[in-house]
Amino acid sequence: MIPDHLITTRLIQATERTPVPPATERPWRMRGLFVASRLILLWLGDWWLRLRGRRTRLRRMQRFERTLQHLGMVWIRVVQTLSLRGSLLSTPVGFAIQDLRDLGGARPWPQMKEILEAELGRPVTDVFEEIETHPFVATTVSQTHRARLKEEEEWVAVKIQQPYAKDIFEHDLRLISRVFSVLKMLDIMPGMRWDDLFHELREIQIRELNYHYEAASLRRLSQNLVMEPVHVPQVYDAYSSGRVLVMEFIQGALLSDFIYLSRTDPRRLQLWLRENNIDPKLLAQRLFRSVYRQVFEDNFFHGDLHTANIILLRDSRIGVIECRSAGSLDRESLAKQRHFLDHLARGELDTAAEIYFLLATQLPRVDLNIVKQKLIRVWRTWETRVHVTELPYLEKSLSYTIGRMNRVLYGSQFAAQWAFSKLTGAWVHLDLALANLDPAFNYQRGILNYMEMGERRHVTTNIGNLPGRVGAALVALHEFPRKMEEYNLLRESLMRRQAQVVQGSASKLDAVIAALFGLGSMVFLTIFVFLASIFCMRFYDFNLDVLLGPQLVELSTVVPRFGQPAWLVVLLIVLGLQRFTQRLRKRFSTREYGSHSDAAPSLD
Amino acid sequence: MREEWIPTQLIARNTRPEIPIDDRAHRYRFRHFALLGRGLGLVAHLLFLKLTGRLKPVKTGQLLCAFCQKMGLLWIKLGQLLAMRPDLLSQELCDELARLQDRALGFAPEQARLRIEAELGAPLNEIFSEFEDKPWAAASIGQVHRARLRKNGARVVIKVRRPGMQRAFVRDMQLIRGGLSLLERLSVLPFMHWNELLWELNQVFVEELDYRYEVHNQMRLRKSLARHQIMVPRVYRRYCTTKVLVMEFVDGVSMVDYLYVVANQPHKLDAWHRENEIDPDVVGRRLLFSFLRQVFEDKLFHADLHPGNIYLMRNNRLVLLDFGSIGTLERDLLRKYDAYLEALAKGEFAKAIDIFVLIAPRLPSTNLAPMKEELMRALSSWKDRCHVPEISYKEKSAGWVLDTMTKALARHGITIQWSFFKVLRGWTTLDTSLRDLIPSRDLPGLMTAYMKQRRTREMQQVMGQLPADLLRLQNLVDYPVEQAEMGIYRGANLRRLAQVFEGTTNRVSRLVAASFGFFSAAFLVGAAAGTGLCLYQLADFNYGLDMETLRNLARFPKLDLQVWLLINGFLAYSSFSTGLLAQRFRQQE
Repeated sequence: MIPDHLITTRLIQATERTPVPPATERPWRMRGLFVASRLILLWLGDWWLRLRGRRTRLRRMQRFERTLQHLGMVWIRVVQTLSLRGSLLSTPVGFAIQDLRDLGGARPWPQMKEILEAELGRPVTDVFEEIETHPFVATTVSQTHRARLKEEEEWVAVKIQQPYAKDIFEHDLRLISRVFSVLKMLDIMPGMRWDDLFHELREIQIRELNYHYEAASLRRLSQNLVMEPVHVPQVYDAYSSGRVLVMEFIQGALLSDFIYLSRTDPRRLQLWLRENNIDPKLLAQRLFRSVYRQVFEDNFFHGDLHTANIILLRDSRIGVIECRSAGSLDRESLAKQRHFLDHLARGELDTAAEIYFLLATQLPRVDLNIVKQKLIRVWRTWETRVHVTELPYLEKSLSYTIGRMNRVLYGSQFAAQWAFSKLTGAWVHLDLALANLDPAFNYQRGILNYMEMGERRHVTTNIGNLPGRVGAALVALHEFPRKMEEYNLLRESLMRRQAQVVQGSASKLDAVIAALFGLGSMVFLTIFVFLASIFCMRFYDFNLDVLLGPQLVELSTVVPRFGQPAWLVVLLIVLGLQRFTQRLRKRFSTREYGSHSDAAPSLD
Repeated sequence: MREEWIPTQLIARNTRPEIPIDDRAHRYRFRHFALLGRGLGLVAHLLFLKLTGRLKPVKTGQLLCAFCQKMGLLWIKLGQLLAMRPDLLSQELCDELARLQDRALGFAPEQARLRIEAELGAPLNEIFSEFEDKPWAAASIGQVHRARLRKNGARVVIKVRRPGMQRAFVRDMQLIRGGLSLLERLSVLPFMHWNELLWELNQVFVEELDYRYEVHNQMRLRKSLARHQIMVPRVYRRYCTTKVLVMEFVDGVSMVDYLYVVANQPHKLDAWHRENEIDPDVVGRRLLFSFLRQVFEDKLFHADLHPGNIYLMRNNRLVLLDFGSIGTLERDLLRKYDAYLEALAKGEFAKAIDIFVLIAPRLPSTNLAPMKEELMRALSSWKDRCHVPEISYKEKSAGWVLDTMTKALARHGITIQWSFFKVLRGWTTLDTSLRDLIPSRDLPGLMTAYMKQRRTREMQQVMGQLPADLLRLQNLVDYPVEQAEMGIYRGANLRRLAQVFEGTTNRVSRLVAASFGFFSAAFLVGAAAGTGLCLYQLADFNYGLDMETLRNLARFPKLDLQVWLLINGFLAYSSFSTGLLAQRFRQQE
């Protein structure tokens, strides 16, 4: 529960927000046609603008966003996930796409009430003292009403799943799977791993349709964040189910309102900030620390922290809502990610690149040194920029760097890794918030500070269970010699075998070469004998017809006529060739040990 | 900066040359054509010289210099960047290119005034009580005016960017990018790594064109250099924008003037030294140690320490200026370079060379031993030279060593990344000052002294962190557990690896053996068939075959016994040798 003294005064009146429009009836009908027509309209409109010479980047962006919002949640997610992998991320467009929200319409109250009562198992008036019939926010699959609980006498937010949510998901996913299978069949951008991407989307569907996931995530998050100035709404389990989620209503200003006001009426914003004792810089720092702690210490992070999910509270405190997709990584990848960021912040770029390569499940067959150089270049740009306070935040953000890295990686045929897309999403969302709260935020210093603090925390929490650890260490030490022995034995035998195989294969190759040279030397010998007999016949009148036979004698007439010295030279050459090949054959047929060990330069 | 630090003048002020004003606005209008024309002219000229056999590196350098000078701006920087690579281009060419100086042409003071006012958003009089119209210094990017701040009466200099720079930069960059990517695509001189050069050039430019970078560099270095007893002028950050930079004015003696006096009027020096309590030896040491400390300890160094950027003050104080290009080395590279220098200072040349080779991103698969020997010889002669005070500084300097190393590496097909050459440039520019400050000192000795100092500093730092480290030491307790855990993985992995390895090698061997066996058999069958045919043709053996088959056999060309013998002999021999090979491969090793 958030104490009352943290509740801020109102930043934006409800009338200033765009009201939630009514929803369309049965939206999945002719879904494919609808999507196609929207896309075609977008494309045509683009051409029309271009023909009239009015195509600007801003206008294109707005049109694109509007189309996406019409298409709904699944498509927004697809584009967002895809853009995490592209170099689009390093442009303002990509940045804006990440902050895109799914805005749906409101369904008539009686319909929703029916669902609510069915899930609660009793009339609405039994549970709620009052409930607003118009939702204050709606997505394509859910809508949220403000209500007051009868028993607890608290204001709550009631999130109800819309009746056709499942159908929308089913239809959209079927459409997308078709598109993907076409892409796969035509082998378009195989590096995108369409199958894995589809799997991620399925995961989203499962989480979106069953609110138990969200309730569990919120509970876990609030447990983890109990020591931090970050508040998570409490879930009322008694009234929640798979399709209804009742949680604490946090009264405060959304970060998106803050951004809206900082563009339209900065003076009013300043007054409000002073009134509520909020320092955006402190807020930025707290948010940064909290996200890093969630990722690296709790290994459970809010995966959807865009600007409409962050609430500003009094005294620079933060509220976090809507934990629809929480993420966590396996321990090893997490450690690698942590080391990667640590080395990046410390400027140990070479090591950072090595670790980054370790994160990839599959390395492409390219010269990794070149890729490394390119990545290092990207990071060095970031390094020089991050200190210049006056530069726009976007140009020195981590997202920008990730976008540039993606470009390098995509050019080098690295396959996409959708498993990390949630983490990347978390970084981008953090960047979005920081860009608006404190554009002068020094990210590098932020990482270094966090790493230091995190380590200190780790050490101090760890010292508590020192006795237990000592015991474990003793046990391990007891086992150690035996393990080492076994390990050494294995390694030794492997090494020996490897050496043997190398030597063996080398000597086998030698044998093949020797055989080839042997054959060559035979051929030369035959030619020599043949030519020598022709020489004897021509200059010394030896009659060798019997020995050679008529056919070979006839062949000998083909050999042109020239003088004795020339003949001698030719004979000598052929003999020399024969000797040469013979020598080579001998050289390769005797085994040479140790000749391969000093082929490589010794640099120890 | 305090009044009492200001030294007496070494050269009378009024000898400072006037800066000519160049005010043609149309200079960038027909740039493409001008570039194309000049570029073609240059190529034609070079080709002509080449064809007539008069092409010398010096001449090429001069022509390139003239071209870059004419085109200004980006091209001068390109030339200077290329001059940093004597390992790839010839030394003469690089010497010529290194002479490229930023053309000291100013622009009209009215324009400068207008720009400053527009950038600062206030009339000039409001901020500055005095403003000198005559530019104090000028370069292709901008010019410098002296002024006095109204607020606290401090003397300042204002750096103003030349109008139209951004546009010219973008356009030139496009052209250069086009040209270089063409070179890359056609793989002309691939060892130059044109893409990398392009990136480096872009980086240099973005940083030098935007004064905000310089402001931050200066502030960062001001903080770190204060510990080295080296001063950096204060920046007035509230008056700094992208195009205007306001900083404290330094009233010292420029190293350029000092070096001029050393060369031309050495008799004046002693008096001046005494008057201002300056010991050139101390100054030189301070400069050298500071550079090393910047590179290795602060990891942020001034990459353009030419004499014009160094000012002398009283009591051996030093001031550094112009932070448009600073360098950072990537830490892993730095560690290698550090180890290299230490080995060098200790005289462990073989080790030094081995480490230096590792700096290269890619190693060719050739025998490196001759190169190492060559470098060994060069280094030991360098070592001997260092102890002889009479030999000129240039041949003893660290820059020389680096230069020799990179050249030898390049000759053997190993190229070092461009970023490393910022250090090389730092060394060579620093050497011009050190040459006259500490001409007789031996570098290995100085380096060892520096290492010693550094070790002390590191010790102090470590002592400071000792409590935290002790706490951290408890993590060692987990080591056996981690190792045991790792042991499980590793053991399993090794076992699997061994099995897989054995399996694959055996399979491959068997496959090869089988194919050789097949060939051997085929040859044998061929030889047998040949013998049979021979007997049929010459001895009329018909083996009891039917007429049909015999008619078919009769189609085979008639050959003599001798030819048959040859053919069958070869077939038999081949069968025999492939059989041997098959046997060899079938053997278990």
